[in-house]
Amino acid sequence: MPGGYIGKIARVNLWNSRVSCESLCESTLMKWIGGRGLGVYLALKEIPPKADPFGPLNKAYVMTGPLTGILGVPASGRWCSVTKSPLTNTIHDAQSGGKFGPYLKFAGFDAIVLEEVSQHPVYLWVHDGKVEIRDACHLWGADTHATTDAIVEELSAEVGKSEAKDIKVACIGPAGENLSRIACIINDKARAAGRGGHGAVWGSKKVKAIAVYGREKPPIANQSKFSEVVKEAMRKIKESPVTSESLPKYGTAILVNIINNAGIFPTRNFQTGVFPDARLISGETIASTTIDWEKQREEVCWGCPIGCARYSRITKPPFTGEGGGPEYETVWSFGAHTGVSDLAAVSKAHFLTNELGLDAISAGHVIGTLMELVQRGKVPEDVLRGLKVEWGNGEALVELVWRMAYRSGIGCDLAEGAKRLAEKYGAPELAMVVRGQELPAYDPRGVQGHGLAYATSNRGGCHLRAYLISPEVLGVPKLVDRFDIKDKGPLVKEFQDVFAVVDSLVVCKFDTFALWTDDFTKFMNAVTGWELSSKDLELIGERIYNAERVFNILSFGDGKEYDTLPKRLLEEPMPEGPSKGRVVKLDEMLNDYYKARGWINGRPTRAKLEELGLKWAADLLEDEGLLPG
Amino acid sequence: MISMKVLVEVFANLQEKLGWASRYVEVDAQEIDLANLIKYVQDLYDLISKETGRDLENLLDNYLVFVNGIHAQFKGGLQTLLRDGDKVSIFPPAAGG
Ligand code: SF4
Repeated sequence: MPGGYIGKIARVNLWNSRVSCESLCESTLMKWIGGRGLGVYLALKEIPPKADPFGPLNKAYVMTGPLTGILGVPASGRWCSVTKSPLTNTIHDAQSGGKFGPYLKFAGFDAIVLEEVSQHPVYLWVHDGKVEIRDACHLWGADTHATTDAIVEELSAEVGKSEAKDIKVACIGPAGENLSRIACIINDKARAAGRGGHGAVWGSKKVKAIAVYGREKPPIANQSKFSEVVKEAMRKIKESPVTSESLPKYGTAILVNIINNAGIFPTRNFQTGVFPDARLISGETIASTTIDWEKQREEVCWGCPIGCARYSRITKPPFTGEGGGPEYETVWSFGAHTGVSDLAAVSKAHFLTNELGLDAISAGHVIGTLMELVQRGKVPEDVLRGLKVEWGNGEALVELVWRMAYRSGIGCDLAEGAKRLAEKYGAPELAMVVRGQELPAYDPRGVQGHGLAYATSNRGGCHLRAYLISPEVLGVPKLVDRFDIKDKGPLVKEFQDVFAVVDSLVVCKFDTFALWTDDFTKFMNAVTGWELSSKDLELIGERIYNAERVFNILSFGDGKEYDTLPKRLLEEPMPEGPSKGRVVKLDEMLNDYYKARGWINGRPTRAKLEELGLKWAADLLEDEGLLPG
Repeated sequence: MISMKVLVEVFANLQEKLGWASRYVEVDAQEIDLANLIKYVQDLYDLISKETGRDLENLLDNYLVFVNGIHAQFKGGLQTLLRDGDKVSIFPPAAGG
């Protein structure tokens, strides 16, 4: 077995309570790495693409990568969940930080596969190379904090009180139990495998939690080379003012003022790109008012020298509370997107999404969708039970998060996500989604390449398949004109492929503000003992992206028709600010993108798939008559 | 006679180091270029010229500078001409997600 890996995955059949272990095959790992890549490969082989995401044929993969839990690799404390999403019907991966990922490996496994469905609530106790299935009836209904505390308490009797702090728990809250399509999995109380409803897939399988603990250490193949690579990477991270100063000091919400200044901070459901009160919810304001610096240190993910995490406390009623966050995405979703400028209300909504197990991006986003539906008179008043759902109302915001998690009244519609909500109330054009997933915190009318990245994202509306904000706004690694469409197709492809590798290694994408493919290749080689080139890694990224697209084509006929954006972003010019008058010029960029990808109308050709070693995937498409050209 | 007024905003650690977030700069001219405008703001100039050079020649490599929300690089760089009512925003290098 190459270094980095434990070499073992556990398959848990929840229907007959059987656990089996398998070893990993090196040639498969060299093609798919781990994390997202390996998860996508297994899913394409094992999940019937048309399977009901909530049915027994869907599977949930809990993945780590070869760099997870390797001390010295910057920001390697992560894990990722892969499944067929109930929100988008796409193959879907959700990445999470915290400490759970490394401890899954220390417990003796690279991955856990959840198969079938259980007949009653269970949790998994993964420790010292074993997986035990335990009853969780007493935990069903509990929020993520209570669940984590109860499991640690229960298991501390087995590992000893002093060791209990090293039991790490990933679990779902009421939202996942209630099958909200935007429910997430929360680990370490405040870290989320957020997007796409993975928490609801666990809920459908009646898996309340996975607890991990152990002392096994993944081996490093070439220690002396590894030490050199670590030294060089740490130098780059220290030298970059982004990773050494801005992120630790101000968190991701340092972006609020930048993005708002550029006129691309989506406000009131993307009706404009300028939020006059942005300053009140900015990273600067959080750092000087609500942050608890002592607790902040504990929030930082395992092995991370950057430390962007926040921990906040609101002491003044009515929104008292404390917890991890908020981040850039959540101050946007609960802030500008809903017109709320009260940082206390925004923070409270964020704490609640962590406790109740909701994706904080989608939860805030869908409330903004509702607010616009109400603004346009689409929602009968009695449905709202007297709640004043209007822009800027922090009280309504917080109340709606509760209702969403428990599917109470209008909350039942919110729990279905923005697309289904807008369709139900007769205004599908108000859903700011791609492939059914809610868009995040950048209005693409003022960042053309980022618009293309949204449109072509295999998991639906997402900024982390290809973060074109880096070159188009932040100038990392090199500034390009954000309004220009030239060369954006190949650039988006490059970012998508590199990010697919990063998600498979599994490390934090914030590394990419200081490191790029060459650095990841060096890490990969030193840890595994392989001799891959940067080109090999890029090819792996491309393979993963194509495999995802194949799954989607087989699932729902994905292709050009879905590589698009909400009409508002394509046809309604930005009404004000520095991006005034712009729409996304998608068609031209899309042609360049398909050319760079070797796709026809959003689908990979047989030649492309064979070039990537995916002849078997081309055969799958051909069998269904879905191969283009 | 004062003939133009430009708003200069700074963010993140620049705010902390300078102790202010924004200020109006008044110049007795019809227009002024970006580099010269910054020289009018003494404490800001003193702070950032240390890293970016006497003539601020490396300003745009070290900071994110917007003129009315557009990267200065795409407006005319350090020679971007500013007029009455314009806004200059200066951010230290930043990123997030
Ligand atoms: S940079 Fe932030 S999100 Fe990434 S690993 Fe570090 S603390 Fe976690």
